[in-house]
Amino acid sequence: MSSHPFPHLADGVTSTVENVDGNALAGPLSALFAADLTTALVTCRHCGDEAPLATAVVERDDSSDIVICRGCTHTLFTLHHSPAGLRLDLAGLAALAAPPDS
Amino acid sequence: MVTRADWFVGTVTEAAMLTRTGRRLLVDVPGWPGNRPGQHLDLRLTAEDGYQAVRSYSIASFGHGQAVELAVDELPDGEVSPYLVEDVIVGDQLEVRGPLGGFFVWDAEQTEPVQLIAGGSGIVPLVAMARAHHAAASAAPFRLLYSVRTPADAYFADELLSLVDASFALDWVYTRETPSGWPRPAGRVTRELLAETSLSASDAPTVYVCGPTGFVEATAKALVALGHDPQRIRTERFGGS
Ligand SMILES: Cc1cc2nc3c(=O)[nH]c(=O)nc-3n(C[C@H](O)[C@H](O)[C@H](O)COP(=O)(O)OP(=O)(O)OC[C@H]3O[C@@H](n4cnc5c(N)ncnc54)[C@H](O)[C@@H]3O)c2cc1C
Ligand SMILES: [Zn+2]
Repeated sequence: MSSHPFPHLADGVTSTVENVDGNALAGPLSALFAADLTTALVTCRHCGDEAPLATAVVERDDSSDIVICRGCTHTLFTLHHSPAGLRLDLAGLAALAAPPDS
Repeated sequence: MVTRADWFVGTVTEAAMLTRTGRRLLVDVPGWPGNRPGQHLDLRLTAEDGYQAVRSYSIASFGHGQAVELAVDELPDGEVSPYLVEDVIVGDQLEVRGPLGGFFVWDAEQTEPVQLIAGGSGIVPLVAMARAHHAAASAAPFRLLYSVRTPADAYFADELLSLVDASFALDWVYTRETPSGWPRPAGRVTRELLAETSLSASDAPTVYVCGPTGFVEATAKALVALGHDPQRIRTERFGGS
């Protein structure tokens, strides 16, 4: 679509894991939820820790975002990206609460 | 401004190098609903064979306009940033989704003291906050600590200097090379340095920390050690080490 095509480096490119945080989930989650979930409080099933999603550890690569509890390092949930779409795996999520003003 | 994030097609209207590796892009995005200071967008590139790459970029501009300002740092072995810094030209189209994120934002209604701490390109969302603070003539005390490798690596340096007044203070940390006559040797942000160059925990500031993940982790840890309430430390990690 661009007059300067984005080169597909493919073959040589290996997918690296990027360590970011829950802020980076705002885009992907907007495909599933209308409200911004990065300010929502998430509760970890393993340690009970409750924190805004924006503060969670996110391990990102081309195919998934693994969302990890900062309290205990267990996985809260995983977002899988594929040509078939997005899939949310709610492994270790006990609760998700939206703040009153959202 | 609660708006659902959507994909838009924008057109690059201005492009200029800010530093040796950093480039400012102004993108005109018809339909863009505006954004809060500190929000980001996702940028999607599509190759001719259909392959797509998506990366997040913070927005230096804020408010209602459809001109979206970005600043991108080129990573030598990166996939997307070298394209945005070296290949994209005025008139090119870019797909963006946003505005994104409600956590790493500052709104003019906030009256408490604010400490901003940026490492490298982490300055981008903090520039939006500093501009919003100035535009609102906010009396909330703002202090910005900006860590860069060398003086030549600072983005928006002249503009930031021009914002300095009774309610906006600016401090620099140089990690590789200082200006001549600088009182401190080049070095990373440490607990001691933070104590000297940022608002103290007793002022109960909201602290916004943004930059490479390693920088944010180290800074947040030092802030907690200095007595800042972890609940008042807002962080945004750009990745890398
Ligand atoms: C919420 C958010 C906002 C962001 N805002 C900005 C912004 O305003 N300006 C900006 O320049 N970038 C920003 N980033 C980073 C940006 O999304 C990309 O990660 C960056 O441009 C590198 O992409 P790439 O495709 O060139 O590199 P990749 O091909 O993804 O990675 C190449 C190599 O660089 C390393 N790397 C990746 N990211 C970084 C990094 N940030 N620092 C150091 N090394 C890294 C990788 O580990 C890898 O080894 C933001 C990230 C997030 C999550
Ligand atoms: Zn936990």
